Amino acid sequence: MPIIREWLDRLLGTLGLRRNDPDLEEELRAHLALAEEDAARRQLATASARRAARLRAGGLSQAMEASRDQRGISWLDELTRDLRHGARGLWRTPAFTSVALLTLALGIGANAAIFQLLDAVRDRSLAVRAPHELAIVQLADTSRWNGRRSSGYPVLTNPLWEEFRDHQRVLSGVLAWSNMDLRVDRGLGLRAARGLLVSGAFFDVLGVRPHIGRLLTSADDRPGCGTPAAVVSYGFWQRYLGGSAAAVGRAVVLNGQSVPVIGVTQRDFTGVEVGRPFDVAIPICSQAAIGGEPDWLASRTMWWLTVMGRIPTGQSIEAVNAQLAATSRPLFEASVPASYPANLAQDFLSLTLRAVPGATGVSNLRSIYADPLVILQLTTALVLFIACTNLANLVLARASAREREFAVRLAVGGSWGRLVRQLMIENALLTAGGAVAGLACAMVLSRVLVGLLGTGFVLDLPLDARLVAFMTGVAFLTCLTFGLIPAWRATRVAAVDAMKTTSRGNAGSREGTLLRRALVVAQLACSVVLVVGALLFTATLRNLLAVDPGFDPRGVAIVRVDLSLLRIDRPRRTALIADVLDRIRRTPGVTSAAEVRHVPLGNTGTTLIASPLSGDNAHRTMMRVNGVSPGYFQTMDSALIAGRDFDARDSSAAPRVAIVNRAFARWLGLGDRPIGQRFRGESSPSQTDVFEVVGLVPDSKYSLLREEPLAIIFVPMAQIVDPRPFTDIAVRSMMPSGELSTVLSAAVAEVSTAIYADVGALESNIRDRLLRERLMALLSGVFGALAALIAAVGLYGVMAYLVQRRTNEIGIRMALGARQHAILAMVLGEAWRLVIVGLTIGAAMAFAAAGSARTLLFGLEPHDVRPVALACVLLGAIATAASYLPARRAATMPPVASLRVE
Amino acid sequence: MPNRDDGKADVLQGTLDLMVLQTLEALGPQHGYAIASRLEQVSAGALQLNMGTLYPALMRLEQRGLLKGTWGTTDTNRKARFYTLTAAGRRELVKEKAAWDRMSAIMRAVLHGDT
Repeated sequence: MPIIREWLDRLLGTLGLRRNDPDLEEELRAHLALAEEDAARRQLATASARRAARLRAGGLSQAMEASRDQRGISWLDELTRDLRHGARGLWRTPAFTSVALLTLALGIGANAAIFQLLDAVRDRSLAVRAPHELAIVQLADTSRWNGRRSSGYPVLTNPLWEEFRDHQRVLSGVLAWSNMDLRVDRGLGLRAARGLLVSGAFFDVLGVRPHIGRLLTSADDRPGCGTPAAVVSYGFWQRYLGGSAAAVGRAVVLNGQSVPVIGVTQRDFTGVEVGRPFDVAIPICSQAAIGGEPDWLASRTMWWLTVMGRIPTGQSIEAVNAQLAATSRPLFEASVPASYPANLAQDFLSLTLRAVPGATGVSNLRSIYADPLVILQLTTALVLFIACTNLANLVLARASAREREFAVRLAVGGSWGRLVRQLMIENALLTAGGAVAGLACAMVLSRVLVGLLGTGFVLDLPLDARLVAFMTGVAFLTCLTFGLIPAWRATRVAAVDAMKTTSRGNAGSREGTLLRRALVVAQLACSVVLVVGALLFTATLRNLLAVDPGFDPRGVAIVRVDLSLLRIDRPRRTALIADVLDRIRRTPGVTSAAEVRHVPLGNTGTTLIASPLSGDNAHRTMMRVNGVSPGYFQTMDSALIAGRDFDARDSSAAPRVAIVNRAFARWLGLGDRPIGQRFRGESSPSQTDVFEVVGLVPDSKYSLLREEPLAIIFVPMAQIVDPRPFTDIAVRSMMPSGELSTVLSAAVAEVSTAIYADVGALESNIRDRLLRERLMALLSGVFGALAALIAAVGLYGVMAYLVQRRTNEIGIRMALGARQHAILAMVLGEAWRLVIVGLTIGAAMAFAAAGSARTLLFGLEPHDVRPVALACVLLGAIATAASYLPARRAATMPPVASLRVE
Repeated sequence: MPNRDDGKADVLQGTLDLMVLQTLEALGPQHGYAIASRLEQVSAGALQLNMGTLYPALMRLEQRGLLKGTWGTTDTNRKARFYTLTAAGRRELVKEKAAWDRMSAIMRAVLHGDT
């Protein structure tokens, strides 16, 4: 096609790859010469011949212009010319350009980093086929639910899952899975691996393909299967199996069992949980074989399987839910626990299933970090806004320095549109540069943040289309925010005025300085919000760290003793733990040690329904329970207020006893004298016991530092049935933690080398649980400081500019006898007017915003005046310092020099 | 403004290209001035092309691959850019000529009623 050819050629022409101007001009000059020659040949007078020839040929410059237009694409030509011009302009002012680029890179980078995290944690769909069709199947209403659960995610029992899998007709494919921590033996010692117990159809329903080998199928997941097969993730295959095809068909040793690897999943599939990529997947039927006790496969009271399914194409989730509700009953009838008394069975049968959208999978990270990340995203947006207003001020200053240039250009007929375009192109160049640098910042920053979250979380943070789209959007808005106002302003200068402008008097437009003042006020106001945020989150962290947990965690080590590899039954396990405990107590340097079912502030727990012996059913209340061995309260430095500690008398055969805390005693109406009193406790629907209170302890925190004092019942370890093949031992000692760890591991190894022992410090464990709060305090602090700094620089810039404009006036005042301090006061007074307006607006905004972060705060009144007041004082001081410098310069200027300024 | 005087024809949009192609077909490789002179001569002075019209047209034809321009010397030993019809140019000329003939026949029929 000739037309397409022409435009391609013109594109090349625009890029400077076609005939250059001298070549064109030479051709035109040859034309004129030929014309003259021709005229001369026809013997006309030379002068008139030349004239006639010229007239006929037309003007050389017009022909050049027309040819140039034909050579390239004119608007593109102009654009490249403007770009080149803009780049040159920026290059000539390196200080401005580097400050602007740095500000933009940090501002845009911080935004992109938080966006990446928020996207990864909350918004991104799973890497499976048609993720939007996925739904999580869960109990519609858990208020009448009883039982034990192993996971924070929605769960069903295995019998219920099997009923659902075999009889449901609503979803087009269903799957179930559960997390299980495994230990892989690679001949070099044990290593923790993130295991996944999956239903046979798991991979098939998700549409996951094998990278090599094959994946699990329904044939692999059948009752009594033992440990037939394992599928590993691509990452695990690379890291631990050398990434070789030969690994498929070989066996891995999982929890001491040899399991053949049958395949590797496709590269991008990391599981259905965000933040916890799986390493090894084995069929659900392997649960008993791989985990030893307890066997959850037949249990009708253990809720541990997360169930998902595919919504058939074209069906709404409401339609699915209606059908699920209508067909739930037979499933529950078939899986009701046989041990349940009539009332509990009735509750069980009233349960129904429902589906909720599951495109983004499940995530612990999401529930903990989604809200903080949203707040951080708003924070970074505000920081970027402050940076933009600062930049707008810089651009305005630059533009006012060029006012004369613009005026001249307008005066000689340059178009306003052209001028605005020129300015916007400069801003766009800056923004583009800032965005590219910001992308680099973001890639680093988001990885640092994930690193701060701890080793337990693994997030994939790709440079994908979503991130690029976000960056482009942010950059566009940024460019508009800081570039449009100055560009528009610059062209509104009346040519005559601008050309007249000298520094004498207040000739500059009032409008210009008004705008710059407004920008500084906006900066200060936003800074107040950010600084208040920083103060609130820092105070929250400080308050949480100052909470008295009711025990002394300093000097306490927690030893996780894992006996699962020994594959022994519970009585032998109990005997072995007693042996380990004994050996630890006899270790030199250990003051005391005790076994504990739930390490305090460890986010696990069991409950018991307690009621007074005399009371009726209305008084039944769910209470927290903890199992401890004798010496626990001594170890935790939480002295008994009354009564006695547990001892050898409290065996499994002895009457049941309990030590309760003050909150429980208060609830039971016993006050300070609960010793010897009894209460009823239902530890499961089928087991009710009467407990005698033998001791009273102070209130302590159970699972969270934020919680109010809870009623807690402590029972002897010997009197509870602990199904776990592992336990925790709390150890108080004077030894440094590193040394203690070695000594304790050695003590455990003396009992059996097959026991897996892991030593951690209770104090650092508790501090790790405050990660979210520390992260918020750190990041909001950094952003608050950054905002204050930028605002200070902005105020300094505007004050310096104002002083410069008034140099002449100040000179006259001083010549007329004004004292230095009067000048100082005048300039500072002007700055303070801006500061007070900014801080007032900011304080109002901060009050409004503080309420929205309430759930993340601790120990603070939602409308406490102090943080806002403190922020205002802080920023006021910084602002005063920033405006003092220009004020002093004005006051110390020799009057003659300032009068002479021209 | 040149080309606007009475008695001198406006160059109809699109017809200039056809005239240039035909001139080169008739005379063989020529420089710009020769093309302009030839058109002026053939039209008995009615067509006077200025450089601002002629050279963009030559460039456009060259960009479309219908012409090929090369520097050479005239018989008076002057350096000039000579334009040659390409194969595509020759095909285009045949096509456009036929289209023009058809169009002018239609116009004649419409305006004068002779069939």
